[in-house]
Amino acid sequence: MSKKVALVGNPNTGKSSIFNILTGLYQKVGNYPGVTVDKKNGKCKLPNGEVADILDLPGIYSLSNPVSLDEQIAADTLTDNQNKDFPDLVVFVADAKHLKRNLFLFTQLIDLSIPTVLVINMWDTVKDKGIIIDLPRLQQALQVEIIPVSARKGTGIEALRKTIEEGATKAPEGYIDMRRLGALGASSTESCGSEPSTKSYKHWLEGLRECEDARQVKEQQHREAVLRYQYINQALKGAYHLDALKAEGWRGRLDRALMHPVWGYVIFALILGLIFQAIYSWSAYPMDWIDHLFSALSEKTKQALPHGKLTDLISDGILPGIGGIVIFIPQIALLFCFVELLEESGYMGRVVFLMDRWMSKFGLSGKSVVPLVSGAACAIPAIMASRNIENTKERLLTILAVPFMVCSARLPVYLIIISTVIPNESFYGIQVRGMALFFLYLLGFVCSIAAAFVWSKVVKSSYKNTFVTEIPDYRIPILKNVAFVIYQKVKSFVFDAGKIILAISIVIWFFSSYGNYELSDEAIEAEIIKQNPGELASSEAVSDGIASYKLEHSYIAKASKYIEPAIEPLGYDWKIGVALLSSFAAREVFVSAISTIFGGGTESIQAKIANEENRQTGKKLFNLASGASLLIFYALAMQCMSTLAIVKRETNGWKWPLLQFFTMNGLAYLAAMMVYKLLIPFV
Amino acid sequence: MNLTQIEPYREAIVKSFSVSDLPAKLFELGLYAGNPLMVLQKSRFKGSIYLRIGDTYLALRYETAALIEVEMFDADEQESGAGRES
Repeated sequence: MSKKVALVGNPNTGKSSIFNILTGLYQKVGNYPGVTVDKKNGKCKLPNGEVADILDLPGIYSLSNPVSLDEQIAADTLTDNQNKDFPDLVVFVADAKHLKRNLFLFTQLIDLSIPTVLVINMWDTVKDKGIIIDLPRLQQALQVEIIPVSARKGTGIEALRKTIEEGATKAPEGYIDMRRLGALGASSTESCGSEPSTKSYKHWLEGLRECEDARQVKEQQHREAVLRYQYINQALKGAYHLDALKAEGWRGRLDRALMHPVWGYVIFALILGLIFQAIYSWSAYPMDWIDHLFSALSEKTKQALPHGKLTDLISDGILPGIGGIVIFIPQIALLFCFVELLEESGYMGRVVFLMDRWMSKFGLSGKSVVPLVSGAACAIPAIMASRNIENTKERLLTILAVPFMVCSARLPVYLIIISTVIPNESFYGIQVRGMALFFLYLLGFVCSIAAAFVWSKVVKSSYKNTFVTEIPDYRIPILKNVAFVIYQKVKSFVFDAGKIILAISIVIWFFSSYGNYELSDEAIEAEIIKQNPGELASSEAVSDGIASYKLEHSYIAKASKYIEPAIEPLGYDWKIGVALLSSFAAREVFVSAISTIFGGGTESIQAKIANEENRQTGKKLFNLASGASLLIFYALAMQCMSTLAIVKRETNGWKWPLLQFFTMNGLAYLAAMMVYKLLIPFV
Repeated sequence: MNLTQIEPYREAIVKSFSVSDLPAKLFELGLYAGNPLMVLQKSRFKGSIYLRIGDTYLALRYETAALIEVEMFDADEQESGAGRES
């Protein structure tokens, strides 16, 4: 069995960079059983040819006070030696600039008697930052191996591999004199902390977890912190010197600009605006290519394969279905690229600071910004990201707010409707279509904030506001790390959400190409020719006629015509109804459903939509009124079953997802109807 | 004098605080009596406070910061460290 190594450290210490270097592409991201915390593990080849299993545990500050599910998982893994992920060796990653605080967690690991080596990362910055580290002296004081590493420059990695191979050769005795901590334990629940502890640190931690006296727990946690910092200050004396002023570098100047009470917000708004413009205009090209590529592929398949049902399934069901998945990749990749750049550079921490005072007015936390911004990609990871909000009420409100944000599944729906109903003009150099998109993003944000506010009046909570957050150092993002994240996100989208999308588009294709036809192909053909006696019907017109006859008599048309009276006030016909219904499985299906229903011609999806007429009104089916109504419906409706499933999991019950489902969809229906009625006179 | 009352960029040290009213995370991040700190930014209208405490940069809400008593920095107290814990 290969050696199990866990990477442990505070957040923002460059742990993931070291993980990426050690494991290269031999890594995978999964889930811990039963929860949705990312589990990153990989394989690392050691100098002697053996392979070690590397587990990158979530960043954590303390084993005695896990404040989020991520931290809980890291703590559980390290405190329970029966845990199947319990490591043979811990590689503790510390940041040279924050060594003192990083050592807090490190001393806890040593007190648990886990074999641990200490990596001091960002060694390349030590000189510039005015940090003096006397390695031999520090090694002696802490009684462990210390490996200076620079993940950015790639230095020290070989030494680290060698150390992983050899294991920790030194095993220091516990750092903390346990007698100075109070005795805690199940047996002494009544009087926890009153007697000096004689047991191990592990027992003390167990006692702390079981102790029901919150005040005593707090006292003990404080006591522990004081003892540890006393020890750390002593150990670092003469071995470590940090010139706080020099270490600050350009951080101070940047902070003064980026966290400025006025300019900070202006800069943030500009950055967000830039991101949206970039996503809108940059992703348009690859999306166009993908769209055309897949319609060309369908056409080629039809020509190359013998005529028949199987060919139809491939060319009209499977290929457009896959196209409907692939078309999202540019946007998802771009968005996660930006989110990750903001995160890696340390800027997100400033956003949290700037936004907390505003967010807290709506019942949210400054930390809600990260889930909300991630919600602009997908509500599912965003709701998962709300886990690092410690306050349960703020966390619940964030979960309720996130689904209003414009997720990447709404984006293609928006893009296609905008480009159909809004003219391609620019106004003082600003694209009108781009502005429309920006407005929709703004609407999503306003709605999510409003939803949080409304729910904050309903949800009861006795929790105090305890917003404490570390503001990380600025860092030039390591592009490899960003690339890894993009790769992972795209992969999980294609293989997780993609499966559902493909399945649904095949189902829709089936129900839209089969039905109870009363007439045979020949009879339909005769009927079409009879209806257009003057014209010499071309073979193309005839086959189009047959296709639309068949669609109108298909199973899906029957079902959708059934609900037509309900959606007619919103300006939709049964064809949009089909797309709307199928969107309840996944919003992005809208585009492929429309493409399938409007006939499998060689035209691009956009051309098909633009030419379609509403048979009842005689107007273009997609006009400003019905288009705006659709946009509003998609902006407000809760259509994503995967989101509901994740909300159920995160809130531990059906109450909140069901409430979300009914309130959001009711609101969407009413708002869409109002918009349609308001705009229809202008069309 | 509490943390909300000192001006930015003035050096100070942590004097005392009510343990039971503060989140334990603060203790782990370096809130202990005698640790030097510096307020870096205060948002207007009782918004969050951005400070450096020891080697950690963190943000707190106004109400939390008001619970922490501080003392303006004095050169004599520089070496006192965590041992001053009462």
